[in-house]
Amino acid sequence: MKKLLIFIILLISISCEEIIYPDLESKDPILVVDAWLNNQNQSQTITLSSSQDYLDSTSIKFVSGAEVYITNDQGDKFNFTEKDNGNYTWNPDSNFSNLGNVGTEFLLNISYNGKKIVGSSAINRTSIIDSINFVKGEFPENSYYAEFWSNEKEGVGDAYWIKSFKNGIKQVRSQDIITCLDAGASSEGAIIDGIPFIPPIRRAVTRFERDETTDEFKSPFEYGDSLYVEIHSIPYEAFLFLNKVSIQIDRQGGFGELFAVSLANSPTNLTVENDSNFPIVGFFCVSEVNGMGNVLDDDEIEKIKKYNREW
Amino acid sequence: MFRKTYLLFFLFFISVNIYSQNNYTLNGFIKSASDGESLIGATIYINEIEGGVITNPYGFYSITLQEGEYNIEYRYIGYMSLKRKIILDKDQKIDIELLSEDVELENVLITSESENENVSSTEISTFKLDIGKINEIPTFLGEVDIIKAIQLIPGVSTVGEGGSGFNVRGGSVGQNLVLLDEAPVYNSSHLLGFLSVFNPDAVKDLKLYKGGIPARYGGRLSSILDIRMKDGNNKNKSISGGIGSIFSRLTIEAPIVKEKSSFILALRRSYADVLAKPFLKNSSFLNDGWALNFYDLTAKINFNLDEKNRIFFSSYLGRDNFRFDERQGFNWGNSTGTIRWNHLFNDRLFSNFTTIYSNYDYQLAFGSDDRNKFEWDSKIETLNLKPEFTYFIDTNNEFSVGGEFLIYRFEPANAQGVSDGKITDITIPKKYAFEGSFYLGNEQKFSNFSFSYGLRTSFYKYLGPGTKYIFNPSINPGERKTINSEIKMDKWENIQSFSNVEPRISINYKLNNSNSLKISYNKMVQYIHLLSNTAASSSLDVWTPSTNNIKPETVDSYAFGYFRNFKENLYESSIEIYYKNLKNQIDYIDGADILINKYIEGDLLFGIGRAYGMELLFRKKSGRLNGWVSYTLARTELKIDGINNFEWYPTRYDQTHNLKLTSNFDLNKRISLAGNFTFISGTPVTFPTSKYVIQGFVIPHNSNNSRNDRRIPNYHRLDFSVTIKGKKENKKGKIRKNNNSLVIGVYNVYNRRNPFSIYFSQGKKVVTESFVPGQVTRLSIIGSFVPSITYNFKL
Repeated sequence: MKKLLIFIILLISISCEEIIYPDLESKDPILVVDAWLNNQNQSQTITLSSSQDYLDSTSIKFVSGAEVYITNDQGDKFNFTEKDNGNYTWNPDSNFSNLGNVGTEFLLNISYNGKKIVGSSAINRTSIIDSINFVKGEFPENSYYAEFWSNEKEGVGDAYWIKSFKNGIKQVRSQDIITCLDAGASSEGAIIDGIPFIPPIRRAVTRFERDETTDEFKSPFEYGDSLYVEIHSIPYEAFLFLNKVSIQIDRQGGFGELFAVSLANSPTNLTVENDSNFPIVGFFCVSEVNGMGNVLDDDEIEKIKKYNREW
Repeated sequence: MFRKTYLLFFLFFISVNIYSQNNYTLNGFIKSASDGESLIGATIYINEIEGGVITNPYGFYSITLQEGEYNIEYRYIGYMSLKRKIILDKDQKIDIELLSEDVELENVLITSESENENVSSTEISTFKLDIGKINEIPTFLGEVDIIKAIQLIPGVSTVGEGGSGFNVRGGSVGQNLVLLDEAPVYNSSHLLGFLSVFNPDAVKDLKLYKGGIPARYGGRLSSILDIRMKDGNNKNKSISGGIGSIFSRLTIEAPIVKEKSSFILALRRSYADVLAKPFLKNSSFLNDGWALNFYDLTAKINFNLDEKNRIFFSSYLGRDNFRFDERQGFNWGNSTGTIRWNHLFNDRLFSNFTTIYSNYDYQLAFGSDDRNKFEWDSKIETLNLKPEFTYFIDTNNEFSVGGEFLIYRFEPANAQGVSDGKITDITIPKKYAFEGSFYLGNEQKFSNFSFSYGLRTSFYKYLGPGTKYIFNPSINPGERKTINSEIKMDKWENIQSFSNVEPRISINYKLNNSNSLKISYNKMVQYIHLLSNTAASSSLDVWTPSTNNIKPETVDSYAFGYFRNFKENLYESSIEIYYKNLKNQIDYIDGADILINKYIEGDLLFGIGRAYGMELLFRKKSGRLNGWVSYTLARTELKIDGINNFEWYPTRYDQTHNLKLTSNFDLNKRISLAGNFTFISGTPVTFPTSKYVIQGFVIPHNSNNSRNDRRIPNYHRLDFSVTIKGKKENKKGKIRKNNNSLVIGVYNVYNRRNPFSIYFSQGKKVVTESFVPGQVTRLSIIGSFVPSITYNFKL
């Protein structure tokens, strides 16, 4: 796979790209709901903001003054109070150490400017990570790659979002939306289930990048680097959402543009109950999370040699 | 209705078949004197009746005339005409060999006059190009390319540089039927879309039907590109070839039994990897066993069994190979095989029986060891039987009848993944279909009117073994339909069938010898579909049959044209207006998963389409300066529930203005110059109006929810080439046996960065407290001028 990647990068360098500033239509801002929660024992945040003109690169326009809470199917209510501009948080307390267990269903309620916005989600089961391994890489020479190992649970219908953190920093480039159905399928039209995540998924936490000064590819991991991986369970609708977002934002350019699809709006699972014409974007999702980390230290390098770990 | 039409048809046919007794038939083959190649579309002009016939794709002609004395002219462009006086008092077979104009001999022959074929024939929306003309056109990297050449014809376009295939009058790439010696070629591109798979050294002639499509062709909506291979020199052995920037070419042709049988074998191979290998030996990322090449092999053998029987075997094999090491890589290619038997039942009844095998497949393999790997291949295979009969009734009627029977086997994906030693098979079951058709057609002349009319009836069956998928109707248009039930069907069981009647008619009203009006209507039906939701079609795109969920695509296509020649047919001009009404057009949901998805039908959206436009052509076919100007004003739109608020939107390849200028000038006997100029309106694109941030990702948003409502900047380009031919005589003044030439060319002379697309992304930047990235990038696939040099030889 990586060689395909490199081959594509070689092709890209033949073509030519320029940054331009076309006239884009300016439209009224739309309410944006960023509500991705999990059932860990930690503070949960829902962010409200409004969309901005595409070429306006100033900070996010946060939306204050909304009433935000979620309820579960047992009738419990979790209030999200506005901590700072546009960020509404709920913190674990003596009653609830987290939002709930697998199987719990939730309803999001937002009241803003007389509009009643709702959305629903449920916590699905996630997959447990067994290990994070570093392996020897061939390109560039003497480099290190990483992969996570997790035996995906049997039974069709699971969906996951895999997030990774290198040296504690979340990898949020457009190519870092790693999602799959079960152990690696991209749609329900192909079943890959109950096995370790397939190589394109478990190795996607290794990101190939060029050094900013030399423009040469550098080793994805170096001695002392850490990698933390999280598997978030997501509902099927959230999988579709992330898939569509990924198609829209992962534009690598070059010859890849020959095979790009049309720009299209990403879906939402939110509705405005009392005004169906009121535009809204964003997503509400509650996940179960499993995470694990590892550091590329002497011990790991020893293991790479001992077990001859490579892709 | 159906039966009645047939009946009328036959009555008409019979009525013309009753005529007087003393008629005799003159028939034969017309060939090139130098190499014995049959000449397609050569004219047999009878002075006494001020009319005549043209040869069919096998060089055969037949004309039935009353007893008498006739002055006959045999003519073909680029060849010297031949006049014959005959006394027709019995049936006669006269085979003719014409001399090429290049051969300079003193004799009684006269130089050919230009024909007024474009004015006098019923053919409308049709363009014929012989390989000699194609060879003169300046090209990208100096590689002579048939698909690039036809893009200079009015009404033909492409999504952009590097885009595979071509678009005709608003049709998608998969709506063209590309025939190589009658075998359908499912993917016509090497190296994405930069080069086409046809070796120009093995091609004799090609004809593109954009409209007015005769009843003998069917199966695709937009066009038929009929490419005929050379038969092979049946007089002398000849070796030709060349070395270009991309390919090395070698063609051998020779008689097997002189003037009875011959063969041609043409090979091409790219050699970038051969040249690069020594330099990359110690490269870190390309391991042993890497490859980057493409090749094709075109072969044909023909046997003249006797006066009445001739057999042809032709075959094409081509492949693109990208291999990273011994285990990992990607390859794709077509293979075709055609067996044809020409049989003359009598002087007037010509028949041809064709059996065709065609296959397109690709393979991918990833993974460094057997415990972790992924293997995936896909294939479409067809077997085709085609009997065809042409009955040359009299000078005014040429009747044809025939059929076509196709068996399809689709292998959408054979895919197996191994993860940590555990095997998962995600193969999608094979699909089978049968497509059959019968046709009748007649070419008829009535004083100033001539007609070409026909009827094709096609029938189609989607057959088991397979699965019939029943989907829940999508609640929201534009979203994935979920599966309701799956019904397993047995072998040969009928899952879904369709049938259609496809009338075809073209009428020519000849105002005089240099002016005519033409009108045509035809209905076309397409039962198999190329699924592709990307800007350009990719090598991985899969053909899929019509099913209980996918109806056959249809088009009603109308064209009207005025044809005019000037200066004794030296200049040809035409203006055509067309309108097409398309049904069951396919588009895709956002995020459609079109590969390895057994529920792919749930990701498809269906709607209607319309395409209309005007095409102008001004052409000078011969002389020191020759070439043509082509201009198209066009619009192509789709209306599909779930896209663009269910309103009309232009397709990705819609081009308002498309101007092409191509010319060739012979500076002297050895040096010729050629130039191309292209101007194309920007193609449609969807721009966002705004953006928003979810989980740190910047998502573009279009508040109008529109599709393709903006345009990328216009495209224009100039190409230029010089051809220097080797001296014809040697130092002693004798004519050299060998010919060679050097072609030096520049593509995109004035170095314009023509845009292919404009895309929106957050680039390498991340969202911070004070910054939300969002940049607009204009991409040029070919961002500079591209020089090339090609050497050609002929021994």
